[in-house]
Amino acid sequence: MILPPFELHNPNSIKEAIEISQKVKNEGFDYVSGGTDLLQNYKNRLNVKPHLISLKNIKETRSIQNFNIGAMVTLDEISKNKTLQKDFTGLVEACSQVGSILVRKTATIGGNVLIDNRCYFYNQTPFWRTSLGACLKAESDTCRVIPQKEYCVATFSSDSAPMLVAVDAKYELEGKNGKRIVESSDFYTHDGIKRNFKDESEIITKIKIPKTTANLKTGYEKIRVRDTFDYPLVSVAAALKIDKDKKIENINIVLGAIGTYPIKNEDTTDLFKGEKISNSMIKEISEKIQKKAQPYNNLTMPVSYRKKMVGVLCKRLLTRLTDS
Amino acid sequence: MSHTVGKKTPLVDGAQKVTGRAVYIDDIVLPGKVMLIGKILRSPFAHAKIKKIDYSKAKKLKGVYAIATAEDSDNRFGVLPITKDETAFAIDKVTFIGDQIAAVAATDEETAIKALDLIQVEYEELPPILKPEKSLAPISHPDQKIQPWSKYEGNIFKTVNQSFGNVEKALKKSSVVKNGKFSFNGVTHAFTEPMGVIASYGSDKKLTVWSSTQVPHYLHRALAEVMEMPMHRIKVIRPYVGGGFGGKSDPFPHEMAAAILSKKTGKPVKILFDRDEVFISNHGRHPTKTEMQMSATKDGEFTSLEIDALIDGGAWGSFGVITTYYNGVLSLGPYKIKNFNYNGNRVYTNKPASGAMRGHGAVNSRFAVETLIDEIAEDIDFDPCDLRIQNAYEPNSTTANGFRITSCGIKECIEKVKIASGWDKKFKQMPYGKGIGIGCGFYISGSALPINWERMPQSTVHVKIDFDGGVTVHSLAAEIGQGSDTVLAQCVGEVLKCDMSRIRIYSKNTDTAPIDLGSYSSRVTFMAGLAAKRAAEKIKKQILNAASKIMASPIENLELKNDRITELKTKSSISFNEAVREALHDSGALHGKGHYQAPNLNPGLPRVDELRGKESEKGAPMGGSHKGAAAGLSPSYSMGAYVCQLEVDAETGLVNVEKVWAAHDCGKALNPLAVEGQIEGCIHMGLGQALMESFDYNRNTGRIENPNFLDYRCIPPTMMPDVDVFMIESGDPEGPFGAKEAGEGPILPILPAVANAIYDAVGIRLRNLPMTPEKIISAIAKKK
Repeated sequence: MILPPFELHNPNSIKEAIEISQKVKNEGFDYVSGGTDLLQNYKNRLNVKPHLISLKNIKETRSIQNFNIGAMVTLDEISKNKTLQKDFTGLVEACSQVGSILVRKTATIGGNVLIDNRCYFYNQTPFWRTSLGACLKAESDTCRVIPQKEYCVATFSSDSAPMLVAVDAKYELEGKNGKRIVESSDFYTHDGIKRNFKDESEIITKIKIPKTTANLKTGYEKIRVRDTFDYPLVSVAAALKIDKDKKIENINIVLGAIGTYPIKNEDTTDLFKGEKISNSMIKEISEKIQKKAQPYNNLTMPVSYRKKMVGVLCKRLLTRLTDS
Repeated sequence: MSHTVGKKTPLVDGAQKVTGRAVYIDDIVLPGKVMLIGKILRSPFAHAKIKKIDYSKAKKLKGVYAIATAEDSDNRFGVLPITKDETAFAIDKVTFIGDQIAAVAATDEETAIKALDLIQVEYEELPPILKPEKSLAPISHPDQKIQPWSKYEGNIFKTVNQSFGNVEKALKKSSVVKNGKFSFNGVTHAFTEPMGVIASYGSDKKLTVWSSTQVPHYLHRALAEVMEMPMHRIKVIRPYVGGGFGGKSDPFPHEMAAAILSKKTGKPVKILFDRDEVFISNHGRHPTKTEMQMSATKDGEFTSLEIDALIDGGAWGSFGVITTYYNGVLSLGPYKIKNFNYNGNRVYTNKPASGAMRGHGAVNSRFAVETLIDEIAEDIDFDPCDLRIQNAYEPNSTTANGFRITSCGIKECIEKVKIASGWDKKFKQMPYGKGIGIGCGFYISGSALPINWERMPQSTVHVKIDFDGGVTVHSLAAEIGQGSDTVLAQCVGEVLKCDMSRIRIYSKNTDTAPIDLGSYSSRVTFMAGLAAKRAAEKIKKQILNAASKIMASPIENLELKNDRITELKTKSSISFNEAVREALHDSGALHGKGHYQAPNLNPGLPRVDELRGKESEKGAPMGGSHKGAAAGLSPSYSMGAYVCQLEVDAETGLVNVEKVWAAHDCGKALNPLAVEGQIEGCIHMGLGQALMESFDYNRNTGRIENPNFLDYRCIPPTMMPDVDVFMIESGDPEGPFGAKEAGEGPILPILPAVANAIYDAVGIRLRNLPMTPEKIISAIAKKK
């Protein structure tokens, strides 16, 4: 499928990009960074805008400084960053499992935390959609997953975001009203169409990771049928702080590809703070989180399988992080 | 010593491909002409009557040159002359989601897409028939008949009943009987290059069609029928083709659409498919439900095999008659099974047509046979490798249904992989989760009976040498990436003992190439290879005669080698070119023609051509004389044995295939580089069907659910296991330099080898493909 017609803008700074966005906002626009996700949707004629504002020429968001990651840093660059490999292993694990090597060389961290939600009934060609009728997120007013649903349940598919939420990372945004910083855990919404609280004019410029992350054990596990190409079917990100006596000081477990946003599990994990790590405890946490997980039937593997894998991944990840 | 045969030879067209110079259909721009872009309007319903098509608005759109519908052509075509059930455009009703209704020719793609949106079609929806079981039932209303011409009851396309020996009697002397219900989801070829076509109807009233096809000759025939033009006014050109695997071995409606649009506009029209259209066109492996029963004595002698197959053909016939036979008869080797019952039904359903795909008709039944053999082995306490060796055919045998097996290296294949894999120390001895398994295969090396029953040879090759000393080979065998151009070059080069750089292959154009039936049925190396060899031998004779004249020495004393002709006694020599130029004197370019036609090997039976138009009640050129005896009949059979070692993650159900030891009897590896590539490619494709590839249909609407490479999962390169290839050279008595096929047969053993290894690893037997993670963990849970 050829790309639909659009006008491409190539600003050289964030400021200029925002200016352009204000000029064309009435016609509609998208920002595009790596484009690995957005352009595929464009080819499928999904929510195509007449203006594309490319962030490619913008230099100011391309570097990693300590724990501040420029939004235009590619996933491959993150995977190879020595500091992050040592102090934020979980993010390196998450980023190095996104799509394929070709995708990771192009896709950026800013794009990945903003990646569009995915659904079996949405990510399809125009002909496919006409043969049944499209869905809430495309051209229709009916959800094909749960027909009576009033909001979209398309699945949250970012690999990096669950890990960032697990360490309470912040996002720096810049838009027509200036800069602001938001908590990653407050950034996402339950609606698969709206997805997050980014204002239309805003661009993510930085991912700010708390310095204390270096004291945590972090890790990421993901199920996909193929070890490349595939989006996650289920993923688990965990950040643990364990004291000398092997007791849990702090624990965050965040699920990806289960609901419409990264799902935190404080209700479950808070119960175990102060307790000593043991196999039976890991089993209990995993079972509890699995029980709560409610995947929607909108990816290519059955709900029952994905739910079961929540427990398996939790158990594996916690075992791995506490073994060392 | 051989000159080129048996040596690793880079493909003659390889450099052009890897440097991006090879011209594929999408690269073709006709000089000085306006080339229009064609787009196809497809049915959104699986089964519906077309009440009205209104394209008046689309026609008025600026940039639209023509719109074609069934009004423009209602001639039927199809690859098999006995089941022509396709038309360029749907007539009166649509039979699957994606059926062609109309096509638009416009100045550019965007305009053509806009025009499609402006065509209004009124449908009357009919209930779609999607379950093959439902197609077996008689119809109660004519609307329920998917293809009205079919002579069978209900929506049955073809029924085959065959029986050899006496199964009932055999069962009585058997001590173990194993059976199972297997099911196989459809899979598709997933070739790299989407289908594409350019048609140009000239002011000279001649039609030229470029198409990404495996069968230029069948396309040539079908175009003549649909366009109502004599074949001599049509030229088919096959550019470089980016893979086929059977998916480009039918003439297709989009090819007809392009020709019709070009004739209407007087301009060239190009139609290039999007990937979802490739999925919609399908013609992939048939979804199949197979019930199978196999018996043996306690001493490990296979006694009987019974197969009942329900084969989902989709909306068209395609190669379906052959598929229906192959699901049965290709299970009759490589083991001696004298008692055999087969009942096969291929049915129409409201889905895209199934067709030929690598290992056509044999893959699914083979999976069932090979897993039942492992169950038998376990019951009677035999090693699965030894049990297979004990039952394997020897060379020069005849199967229960009369297949003539000449060269036969199956035992050597099994022994090879058993030793190489360290089987005796691994089978049943590895820790839980790790497993090893074996599977074998058996396949035709070209069909002995051509699709069109006539006296024309199946392959003809012309070889020409002129003053420049270059050797030009003309053939219509279709190079689709499998290396057919290279194998023809080798067959000619081996005879003429000349440098390979002298040889140039012209295999793209029906105007200049003598007819070859095309690249399907694993026939090119055997049939076109023999034709090329024979053509080259005729040229060689002319060259040696000329040399004999120059050197004043009889031919017997001359040796042709490395571009020179040497007098063996005096050791004096002349160059290849000197001899060629002498031969040209007073006669012009040298010309040699060779052909291949499957022989009549069963004396007293009528020749192929005498059977024209009838099923072979009287018999067939080789083998038996029963109805359908010609199906699966081949001048030679390939066979193979693979051992696969893998690890199953019992918690996630994910399978990591670690290593495959693959032995394939290809007679003689003319080009070991290409044979190795075919075996590795087969393993890649087979692993996909075994573990993850599945053509999913919506249960209610019949729509393909995953027409893209993200949701239809092929094995990525990162998951390919290590493969040790063993080319077993049994030396076929009739194949060119002893060769037989190596392109399709090598897919067969890998699927059951994986299943048998999964059983060894975690003790579960899955009977439906693909063996996905969720099926694996739920089977493990059930077992506990």
